[in-house]
Amino acid sequence: MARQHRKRLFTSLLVVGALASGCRRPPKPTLAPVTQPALVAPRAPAALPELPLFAPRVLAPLAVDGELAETVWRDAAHSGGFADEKTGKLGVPHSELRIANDGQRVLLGLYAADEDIVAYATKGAPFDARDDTFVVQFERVGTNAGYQLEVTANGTVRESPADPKAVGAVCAVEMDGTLNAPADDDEEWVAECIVPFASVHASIGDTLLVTARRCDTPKGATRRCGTWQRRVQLQ
Amino acid sequence: MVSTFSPSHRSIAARLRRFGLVLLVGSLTLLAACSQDEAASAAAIDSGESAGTDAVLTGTGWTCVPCVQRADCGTSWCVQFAADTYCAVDCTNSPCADGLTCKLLITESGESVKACVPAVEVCSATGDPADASGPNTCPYDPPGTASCCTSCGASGTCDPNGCFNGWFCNRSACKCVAAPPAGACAGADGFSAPDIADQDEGPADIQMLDIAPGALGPAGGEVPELYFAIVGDTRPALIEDTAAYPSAIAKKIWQGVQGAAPPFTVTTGDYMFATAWGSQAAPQLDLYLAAAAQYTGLRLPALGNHECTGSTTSNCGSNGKDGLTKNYTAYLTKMLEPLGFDHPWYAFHVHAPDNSWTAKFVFVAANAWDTEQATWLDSEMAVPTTYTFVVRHEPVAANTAPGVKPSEAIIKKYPVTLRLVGHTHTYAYKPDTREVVVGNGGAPLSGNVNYGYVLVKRRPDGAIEFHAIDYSTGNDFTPSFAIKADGSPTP
Repeated sequence: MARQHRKRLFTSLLVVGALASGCRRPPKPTLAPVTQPALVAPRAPAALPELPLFAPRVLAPLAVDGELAETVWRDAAHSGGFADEKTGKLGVPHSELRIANDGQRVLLGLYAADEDIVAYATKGAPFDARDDTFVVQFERVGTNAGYQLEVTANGTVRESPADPKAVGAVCAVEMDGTLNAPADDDEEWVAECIVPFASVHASIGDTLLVTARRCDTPKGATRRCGTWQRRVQLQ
Repeated sequence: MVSTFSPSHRSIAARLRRFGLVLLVGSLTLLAACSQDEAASAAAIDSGESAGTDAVLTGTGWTCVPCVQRADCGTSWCVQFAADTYCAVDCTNSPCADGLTCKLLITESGESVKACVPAVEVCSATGDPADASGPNTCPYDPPGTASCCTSCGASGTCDPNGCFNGWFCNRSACKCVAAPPAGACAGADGFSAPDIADQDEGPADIQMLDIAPGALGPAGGEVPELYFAIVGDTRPALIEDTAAYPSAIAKKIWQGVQGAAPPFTVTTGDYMFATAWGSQAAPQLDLYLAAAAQYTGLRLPALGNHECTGSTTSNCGSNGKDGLTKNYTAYLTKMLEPLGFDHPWYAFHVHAPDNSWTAKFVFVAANAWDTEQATWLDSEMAVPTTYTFVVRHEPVAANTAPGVKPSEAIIKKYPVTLRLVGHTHTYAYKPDTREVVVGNGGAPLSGNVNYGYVLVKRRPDGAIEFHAIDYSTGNDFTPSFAIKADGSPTP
């Protein structure tokens, strides 16, 4: 019943989102992040069909510690750099995603080049608009089942829908820099996450529309956002 | 903030359902309109971005069309292949032409794609994987030959081929490119071979010393003019990711430097991203050196935090808390020993033939800081020279590196022309701290400029002029800047 309710709500939000966003291109994705402006997917590659990316099933052990040193991340599918939302070109600061699965969970590696790492979020409290955050949305293709993961540079995780009974996502963050210290120069932060298949309503063989977004304000520059969107098949 | 799907939103959902029909009709109408708009817009985008060239299938099945970015390839991908980047047709849903195989490759921007390429990773500058094309098929027009490139536009100094700084024009795509590989177009009509040594692309650190021009060596020497390049931060985004090492970007950067032909180049650190005690430091340095071998001048490296453990706070060396990591020892072995240095800190002195000016480059290793280096730095900075450049990986603001604050305490006692730093993956001139950040050598970009390098030249009036060059066009990123010997800005 609850699932049906969520499905209806999701459909309703989809319609409202389409109306509210006017003719923003493309009409996907559908989930509106809570703390950041509505996602705007990057431009599709010129004249290319939307090709799926294959998230391989990997068997090597993985320690969720924020260090993407395991071979899993070498074998994972690469997103490449996110596209700048305004220009459609390769965005800076650089953000990228790696995605694989272990047969039961989606494995996500998120990289953010960042001159000034900022995060004030705490679990259960509203995210601060200044927080450096990755927002990753999953929509199972052919259904209305959606899921959104947000992870900040201090490792705070928020999921939508948040099901207190579910195991939920687990993330660890590693950074090279100092948190909330604008006087010095930082280098990067990395999030390593595992998301149960149940959360993304998918299993091996399913295809997900994955949209990832990160916004940042480099020193002396204006805020800019990079996004990446692709159909991803769980192999 | 409440989750989008929290129970508190149920009342909103009920309202939405109540108006569902109206919304649905409205949205369908709007989406239909949007589709038309999107199609029109897509067409506009296509017209703007598809000036590039698709991977060309010829009678032999394949032509190696070089690319720098996706826009160069029309509807194809720009993939890393045969130690460079070439256009290749996607094969996710369609088979490849005869003679080609569908491979999982990485694009120039790091994305995984499936694309059609020859089974053997060979591409020649003539565009034929089998090479053997005659000189008439050379697709590169040298700087002195009129061609179809327009990169330099109306500003700056334009070579007759339409490019800057000695870049070549690739006629097949009308794109400015760095000098083609040695011998690729030798004998072509009007072709003046660039000054690239015909050498193996493997690690060439020792060869570099053999071909250093004139009397200039690792300790310095006499130079006809003060002219050098700066390159900084070349590494993959993710640790241990040797497969994603930015070889193609680095190679193009070094080809650009070679085209500009400075006698020496300063590098500002971070050539790897490997675990401190793992096995990937040496392979990544090999890739770096292979790319850097495009340049035949003298390379003078600074140590970065990634040559220690990777952390900015790390401190290597026999007196450092992190000791002699594999990253550190690989750096010493592959990059400093060929220069004859046994420390990651050293100085390089050059002077005019008539000694009308002198310059020193003081290389500080802030991630191998100890009292020995501090003593050396104090004595080296005390040597009087017309120009003093401090080369250190971390800028002043990256003060968690163990050697930044203590080295600054020493440096500030003496005259400084400019600090040449990296660490931040961008290009920036910071007059307030008297430093230029050059960290856009292939590492994931954090600022607002493309990959590239910096060319530095002493003007007849004695001022030092800096040009930040975009590796994909050979053009200046931003207006150049100039400083006097004392570091003060000058027009």
